[in-house]
Amino acid sequence: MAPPPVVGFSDLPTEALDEIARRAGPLDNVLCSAVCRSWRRALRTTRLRRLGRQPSLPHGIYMYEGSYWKEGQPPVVEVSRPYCRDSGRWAVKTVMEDGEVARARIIGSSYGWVVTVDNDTWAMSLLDPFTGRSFPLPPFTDSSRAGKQLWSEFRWGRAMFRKAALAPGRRLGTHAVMLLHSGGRSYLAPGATSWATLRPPRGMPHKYLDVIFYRGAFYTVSSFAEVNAWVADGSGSLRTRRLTSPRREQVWAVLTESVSRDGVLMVSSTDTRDHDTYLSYGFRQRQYRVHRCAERERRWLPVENHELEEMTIVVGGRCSFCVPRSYGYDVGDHGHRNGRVQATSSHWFLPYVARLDPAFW
Amino acid sequence: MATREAGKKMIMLKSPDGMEFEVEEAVAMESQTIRKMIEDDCADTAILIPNINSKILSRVIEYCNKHVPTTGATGAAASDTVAPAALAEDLKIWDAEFIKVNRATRFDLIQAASYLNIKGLLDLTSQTTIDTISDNSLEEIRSFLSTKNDYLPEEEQTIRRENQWAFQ
Repeated sequence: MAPPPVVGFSDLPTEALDEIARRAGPLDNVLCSAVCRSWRRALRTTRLRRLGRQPSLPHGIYMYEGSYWKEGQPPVVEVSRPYCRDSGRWAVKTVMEDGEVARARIIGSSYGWVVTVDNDTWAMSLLDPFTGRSFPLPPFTDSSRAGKQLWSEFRWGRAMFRKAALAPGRRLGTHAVMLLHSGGRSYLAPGATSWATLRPPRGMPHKYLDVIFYRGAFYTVSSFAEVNAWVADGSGSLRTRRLTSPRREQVWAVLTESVSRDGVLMVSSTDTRDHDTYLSYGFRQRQYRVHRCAERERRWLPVENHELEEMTIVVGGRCSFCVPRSYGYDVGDHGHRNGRVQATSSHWFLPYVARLDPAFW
Repeated sequence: MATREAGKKMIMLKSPDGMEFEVEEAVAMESQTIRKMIEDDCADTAILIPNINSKILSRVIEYCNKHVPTTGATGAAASDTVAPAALAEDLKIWDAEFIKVNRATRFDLIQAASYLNIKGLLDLTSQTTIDTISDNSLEEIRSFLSTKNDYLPEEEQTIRRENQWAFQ
């Protein structure tokens, strides 16, 4: 009998390929799936299995421990899509690896990972809600005087950490994180072991409201609706470029990638209360406006209603995104609907695997 | 080796190139695939292991042989005299030596571990593979794994646009 053909990497079984990628670090999907077709296919097939039907729709995450969960039980993360009309209630419970859930809050989500921070110790980590795999980020410490003051000021406050966004590094196993907090912006370069403080662009000491990673750059929006793109400067920090000029009046705003994924949208309101505060007032009418970023003209162009008809923009407390309307997504009582914009208090996120292929939408 | 206990059940494994390997049942049951066959009583005669040639199969058996006393519930005589921690350390060193093989052999081992469902071996081989490519860029990974870039130029463009490895 002839010996079996020599096995090359691309011929390895699907499960084995996923097994290998799983060890690569948080953003394993991104770089591994770019290596060759079979690896990409393996990552998709094995991971889509976890996501149930219509994997490209947002999922909600809930963290339980102690009184929220059964006494003596390990902490659990529940992923579900209760408001998805045609898939019914669907939930995955994952036991956390490291056991620290109760005091942790989610402050951001990208690439299917959520960024969590411990309210007391400021310990930050990345969490994969489907596997419970968690990945520690370097401790957020700032030994400067301003940093110490920040610490004492926000020791007990919940408003300290605002948003975080994640980006794949060029090398396997590395990733960059940009963090917005009450004291400004911090940045974790790929492979770095400590956070760097990002200086605001000249003459722009605004408060920053949101950050997303989109096509190789972090985009931030300030409380005056000014948008900046931040890219690596080659020396471990970021340089910034202003994309739109600030407005005269203060706004509340979030950023999201458009449904066609060819631009950045801003959902804004002249009601400047932040998202959580606003929602805790009850679901009162709040007027949202949607704009798209016109980079060339350096300004925001209003998005007409007919352009919005095909999508729903879900404005979440920790991350926002667009979903095509044809998917029948409805946050129902859980949020507040205003035209095609829905505001929701929950921790929603999009699993990255669904975004591997634009044709998937 | 001649003093092998008579009570131990032996299992015959056959590779597609015609070689036969006689192994203890406990060793063979390191593989969840074979365990299932034995439990379902499908292993009366020799078990044919498809896709895995005799060279690789013998290495897999070598691995299972080494690992069976520590993971087996019954425990072998060897573990009575040596502390478990020292034994684990010993095993680690042995594993490191075991995995010093060329790339093609390692891929064969991964395939075998995956088919036979041997968790320890799959862990070892996957981890070794990822260790060799960690902290490398896309092109370096492709060359290390000697995989061809089988994306069409326009697809490659899309992938790059999607991700734009900006953080160099």
